[in-house]
Amino acid sequence: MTLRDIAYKNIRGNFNRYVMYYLSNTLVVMVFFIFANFIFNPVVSKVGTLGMKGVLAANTMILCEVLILVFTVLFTFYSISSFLKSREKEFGLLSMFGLTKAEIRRYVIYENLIVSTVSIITGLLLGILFSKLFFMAITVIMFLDAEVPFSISLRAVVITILCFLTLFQGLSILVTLRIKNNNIAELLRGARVAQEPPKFSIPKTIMAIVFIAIGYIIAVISGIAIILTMFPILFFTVTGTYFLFTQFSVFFTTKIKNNKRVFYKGTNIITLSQIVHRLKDNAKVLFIVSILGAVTLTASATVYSTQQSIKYKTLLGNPHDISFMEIGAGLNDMYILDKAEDILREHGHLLKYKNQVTLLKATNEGEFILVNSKNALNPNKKPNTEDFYIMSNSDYNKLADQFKKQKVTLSQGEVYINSYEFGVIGSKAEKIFVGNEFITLGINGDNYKFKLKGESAGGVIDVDKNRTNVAIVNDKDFDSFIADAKQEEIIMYYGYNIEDWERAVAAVNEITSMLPDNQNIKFTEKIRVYVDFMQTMSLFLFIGTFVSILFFIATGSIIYFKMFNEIRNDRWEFISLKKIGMAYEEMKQIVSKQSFIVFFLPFVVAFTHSTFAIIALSNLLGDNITLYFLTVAAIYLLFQSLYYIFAKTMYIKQIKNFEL
Amino acid sequence: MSVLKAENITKIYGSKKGMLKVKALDNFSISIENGEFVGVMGPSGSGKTTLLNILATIDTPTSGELYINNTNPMKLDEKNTALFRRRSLGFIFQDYNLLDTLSIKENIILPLALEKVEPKIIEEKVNDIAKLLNIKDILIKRPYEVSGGQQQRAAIARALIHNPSIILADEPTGNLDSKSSLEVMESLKRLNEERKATIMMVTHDPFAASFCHRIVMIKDGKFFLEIVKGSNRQAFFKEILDSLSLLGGNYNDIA
Repeated sequence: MTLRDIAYKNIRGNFNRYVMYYLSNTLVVMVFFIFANFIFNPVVSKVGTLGMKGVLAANTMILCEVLILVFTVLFTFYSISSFLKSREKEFGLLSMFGLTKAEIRRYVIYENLIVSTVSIITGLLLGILFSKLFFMAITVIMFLDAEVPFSISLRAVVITILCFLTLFQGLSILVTLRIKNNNIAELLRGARVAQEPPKFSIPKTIMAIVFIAIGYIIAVISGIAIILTMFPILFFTVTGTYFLFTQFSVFFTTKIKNNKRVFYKGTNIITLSQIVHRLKDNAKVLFIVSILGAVTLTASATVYSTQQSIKYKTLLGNPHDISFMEIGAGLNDMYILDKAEDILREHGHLLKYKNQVTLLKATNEGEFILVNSKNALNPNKKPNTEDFYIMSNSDYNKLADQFKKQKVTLSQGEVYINSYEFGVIGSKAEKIFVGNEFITLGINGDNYKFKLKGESAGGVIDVDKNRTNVAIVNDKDFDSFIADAKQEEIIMYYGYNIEDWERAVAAVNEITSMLPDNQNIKFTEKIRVYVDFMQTMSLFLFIGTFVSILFFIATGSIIYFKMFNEIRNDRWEFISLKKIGMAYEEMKQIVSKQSFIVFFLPFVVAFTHSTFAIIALSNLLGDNITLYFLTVAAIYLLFQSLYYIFAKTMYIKQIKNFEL
Repeated sequence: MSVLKAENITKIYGSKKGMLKVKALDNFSISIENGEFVGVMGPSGSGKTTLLNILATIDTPTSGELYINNTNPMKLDEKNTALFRRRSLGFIFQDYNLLDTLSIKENIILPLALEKVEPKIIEEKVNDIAKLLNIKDILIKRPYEVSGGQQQRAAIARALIHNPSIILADEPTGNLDSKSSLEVMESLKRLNEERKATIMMVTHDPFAASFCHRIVMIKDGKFFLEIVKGSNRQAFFKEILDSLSLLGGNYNDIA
């Protein structure tokens, strides 16, 4: 039997401890390869085929690759070193048989070589398998007409193997250098060396709370200044979190232990005294997991909410998918309407709605109080409160019905305003006419004073950016204005809603190329900009999700890994406890509570951190993104719970097997 | 009244087909009265540990009956066996089995804490027993900070604090030097005399055994002989040594 055989057998015997390490390595390799294979795909690098978005995607992925590698270094280092620490007894035994330090190192390196080779191979195979799926997903997300041709890039394979082989092996050699078997007797005692009760320093405990509080407070009050205060906030929260896990956790559990009513109650005595050690020993890992979790949560929530916000705002500002405006109703040849309908039909987009609205121009002529002076599009500019279109009450209600908006009923001399002055991202669609009881509009050269009945953001027609307000007036008022207006002043608005509009880019392009050379016909569409934006965001979301899942699983497996390394120590304790009459159910309770804390404490910290990050972000964007954030957090929580249940079950299974 | 009554206990290891069958205990019977301090001796492989494990309800006999305080623990399920162990039995182990993560005091109160006894009562009991065993000064220390003798006395305190029907001790002096052994045995004797604790101790050590009232010797899983202490411990010690040479096994060297 050679050293290699022992290494091999050891892995097989310790399957439980290796399995998560192996799985996470495999996953990391898989994702790394999939990204690399995409980056090296000949089609992607050509701007002509995929456009700038392909290049953007590839660049984002390169960034992700670097992130993955950095993370793997951390992950592997932690895993291997905690693994070795738990096996000191074994090394002591091997030394006693006369193995030299170098031989023991070689043994560990063999062992690692086996696990990493297997995970690189499985990772690559899975990567090749899922590459096709990934390409298909990218194609769908980017609405590409032709699929990215599937190919396995040899360069990607080689780079993946090289990167991970050097990384895994380099780290394992580095870590094994730390094996010191100076005292065999000590090693033989193994991890059962006395654990000092963890201590905490009061100043650092206070610092943990104060720093986090400072970070949170600055985050909440900075508003737009967050761009400047971001780094101090990061410093305070990250340092605070570090002390939270290394100091405050010990302080807190010690305080609970001092409460005899709680501490002396049933299994609490064991749970609490073990968790103190567990928290202290795992403080750094828990800290890293929390920070990574917070970053992941915040980033996903930000991207997701930006995407959702754009979607909402686009629909608010452009209820119609495409629209035409004819200045001088009936004076122009509107053949383009039939043409556009034909083009849409040819592309398979059936008309859902076709609306026609008569409008008139108007200007704000009276005294005017501007309460909300913020202009969302440009902070240096005041919002447009000058230029209006006038619409009749009955037209508005007809469309409001169609778009499921609130209808209004106006008497003569009353006005209801739709303002369109809001940004695509963020900035709450604020009312800009509030504070004015009356508003004077100049129509056809005469001024009319209206009572302002209400205002809403967005409306029922698409409006151009230069005339961002629509005033809705009583039908009788409107008819009299029309009667006074010259024909070239009257505007006819044609709006269309079509089936499957998000895929109508080609049709819109064709319509745009057909537009008549006529100053009096204006064409508006939301499709192209929207689709472009959505694709980019979806791409980020997609790649981001990949990386988040990767981080999530890897950090989870560090915890899992540490837990299983501790089983050997715990085994002895649990056997002692079982002998003095602790029931299996009670041991299960202890284990469940402890793993619950170890798994969910980082989540709670990550969640609180992200909550404040999201509050700050909401302030900056002027948008309430809580709902989106909660959605993302709920998904995260779900996965974390699944992981917890898995780890707990595996652990309990082990404990059940302990023989007395 | 007998606290513990084991009748015709037989334990056969290797019940699966094809495995070598070993009869660790063969129709062994023992009865222990309330307030007794009984020693069980025998050479290695004689079945001492098997007997102790069966009496401790952490192993089940192949056949035979066991009654502790008129309860048959073999008829209980896993949870109730654990509860029975926790309430009716006290354990002292060769390697103390104190938890490093707990202080000496916390280790001692463990059986009471598991039973959710009022903290006030716990405090009273722990102070009381610490005084008796002379370990008051080390209560706040951790197991690894004190000597083996002190650890074993802490373990004795843990075994007694919940007033079990019987204390089962497995080679309590096995890891200790002679001075600590004396301390530990005197502690056990004091428990037996002052608290009327019923103790059954498995041991190799004739010196430790000389503290008992009665010694049951076991060989090859069967009852071998029984000796009862007279008035003098020195004389009893001699008697034990003589009996051990009869017993043979690895005791031959001693004689």
